[in-house]
Amino acid sequence: MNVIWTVIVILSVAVMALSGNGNVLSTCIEGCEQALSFCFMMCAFYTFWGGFFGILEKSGILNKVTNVVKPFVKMLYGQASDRAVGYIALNMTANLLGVANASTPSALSAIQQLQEDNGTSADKQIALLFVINATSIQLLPSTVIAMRTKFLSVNPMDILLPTLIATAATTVLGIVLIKLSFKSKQWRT
Amino acid sequence: MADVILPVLILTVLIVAFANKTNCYNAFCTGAKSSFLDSLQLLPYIAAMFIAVSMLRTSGVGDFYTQICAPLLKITGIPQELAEIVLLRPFSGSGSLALLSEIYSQYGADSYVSRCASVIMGSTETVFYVSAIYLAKAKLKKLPFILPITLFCTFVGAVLSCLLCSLM
Repeated sequence: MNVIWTVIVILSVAVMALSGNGNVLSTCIEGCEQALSFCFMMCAFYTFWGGFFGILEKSGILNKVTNVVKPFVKMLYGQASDRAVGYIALNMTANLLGVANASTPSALSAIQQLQEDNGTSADKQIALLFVINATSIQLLPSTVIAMRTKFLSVNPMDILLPTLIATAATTVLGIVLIKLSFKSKQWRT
Repeated sequence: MADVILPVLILTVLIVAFANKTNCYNAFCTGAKSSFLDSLQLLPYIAAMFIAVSMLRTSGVGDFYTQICAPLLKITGIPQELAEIVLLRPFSGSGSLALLSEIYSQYGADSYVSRCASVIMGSTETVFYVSAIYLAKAKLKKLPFILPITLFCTFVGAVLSCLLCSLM
């Protein structure tokens, strides 16, 4: 990450300075402004979904869902406490329903819980969680469909099947690859 | 249908919780408070990503990179017109949505190019943001292999998307 980010910034600043293509300082500030408004939106989502999750927990609903999903999660992730399984279950549900903004908070809570429970062996579990989330697993690509409708597509839902196949395929591929990588010595545990 | 799922879900949870004598208000506020405080920690990492993306686009380095990669992508079946969105997608969600909207207005929402773009967008994620956020939370500088694997899968996803659209 360090290499990628630093190289990008160095390259871009150099090109901007040499070609006069843009003002370096104002681009940086612009980037920060965009980041701020993005974070503002994210804080709003986190606050809402964090609260909603609190209700799920306190009411015992989460426990029931967790019990159903636990065997499957254990099969994929290995050792995980009930709370971690709950967060992972919520993350999967949010992803599948296409509620992307609920999936990140629950993933972060899962990460924290996994680290508390398993210490450094949580690294592999976090990697797996990342790969599943970052390859996108969505039953309903609502944003895309909404945009197509706005642009007067004849049948906005006709991309549903290809999207399902592609999203499932990439996620499965990701899971297989990361699990294969676990054999490598680069993992701390 | 999507409009219905979420309200139904929220409604069901609230009703069941309330019926079980849960203090929904307190549970909500406690959960919200800790989530909100957590989310504030993310700002520096998100700022780093946005600055990098902003600089890539303004300096023209992004465009240059796209021009180089376009012929290579074409070999794998990804149309030339989609080179920019495929390359931007792992870096910027809002940027790629903006590109998607441009593609729709330029080529029409039902053209082959637009359908490919739609499937690509629906089946991939903004990899670098997700990694910045997850790594920040886990307080880890890196996790082995996650970026190469995910980027590879994203690319495979893009190729597969175009293939599927040409078949369906």
